[in-house]
Amino acid sequence: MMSDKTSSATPRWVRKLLIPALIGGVAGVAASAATLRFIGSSAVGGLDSSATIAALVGVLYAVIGTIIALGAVNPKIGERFLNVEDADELREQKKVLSLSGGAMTLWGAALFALALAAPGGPMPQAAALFVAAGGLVIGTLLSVLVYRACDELMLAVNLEAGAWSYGLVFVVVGLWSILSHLGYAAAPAPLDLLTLFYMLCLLASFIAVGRRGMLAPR
Amino acid sequence: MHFINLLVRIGVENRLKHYREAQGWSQGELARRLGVSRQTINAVETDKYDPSLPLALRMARLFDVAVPELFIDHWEPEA
Repeated sequence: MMSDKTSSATPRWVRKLLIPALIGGVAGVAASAATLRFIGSSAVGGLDSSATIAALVGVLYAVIGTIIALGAVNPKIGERFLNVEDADELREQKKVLSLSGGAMTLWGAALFALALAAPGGPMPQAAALFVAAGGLVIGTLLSVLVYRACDELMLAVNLEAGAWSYGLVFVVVGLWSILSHLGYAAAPAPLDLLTLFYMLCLLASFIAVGRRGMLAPR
Repeated sequence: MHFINLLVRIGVENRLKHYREAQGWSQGELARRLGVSRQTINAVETDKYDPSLPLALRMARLFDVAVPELFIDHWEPEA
């Protein structure tokens, strides 16, 4: 069942660390640059710092989600930049990974739409609400399907990521609230809170996955 | 030490890799037989994940050994 490895002559650390890191880095930098250029274009006319950070985080989610989904749909290509043993592993995990990628992309689109919403941005508020609510609801439905398709390790990782998210949100948002209440910092705007939830959930996922050794090269 | 345990999970030792290789099975083959993902087998073999009791029982049954032969816990009851 092992797939052919045409690049077996390439050192393992190059295939499993350097190339994925380069692809991820290039994709991230390119997407961030394109987003900033779009925000500064005449179509948007610039956004405040809260909306700009929200837009970048939304794009980050969308890029990660798209990379995962593309890798799952095209296992021969995906094995080059996703942390799997071979293309067959991606075929085995196709349902979970493609649904997860879709959910992340939709959640990213939801935050991006909110960042572009009026009055600070060019998108009408009703349209932003439609995209954001639709993205969050459909993304959450997809994540329920992912949950049902997971085996026990992934269920454990999901639960652990949820616990880490709760702890991180409590510490970071709680600390910010304390400082704001005491007048040491500006109060977080609603969009800042949403962006923080996104960032802390992503961080929590990496912590949970890393603790199970799933960030180590396969 | 408690903080290190929080960040780097320490579970029971296991001999899953030994028994799997004795059968000549790949991680993928064992995963298929047990109905779990390859990542689960990899995580168990590298002591990053302790399987559920049903999965541990299935593993032991598959290799025809007792669970304590497959999973080793160094815990000792206090005297």
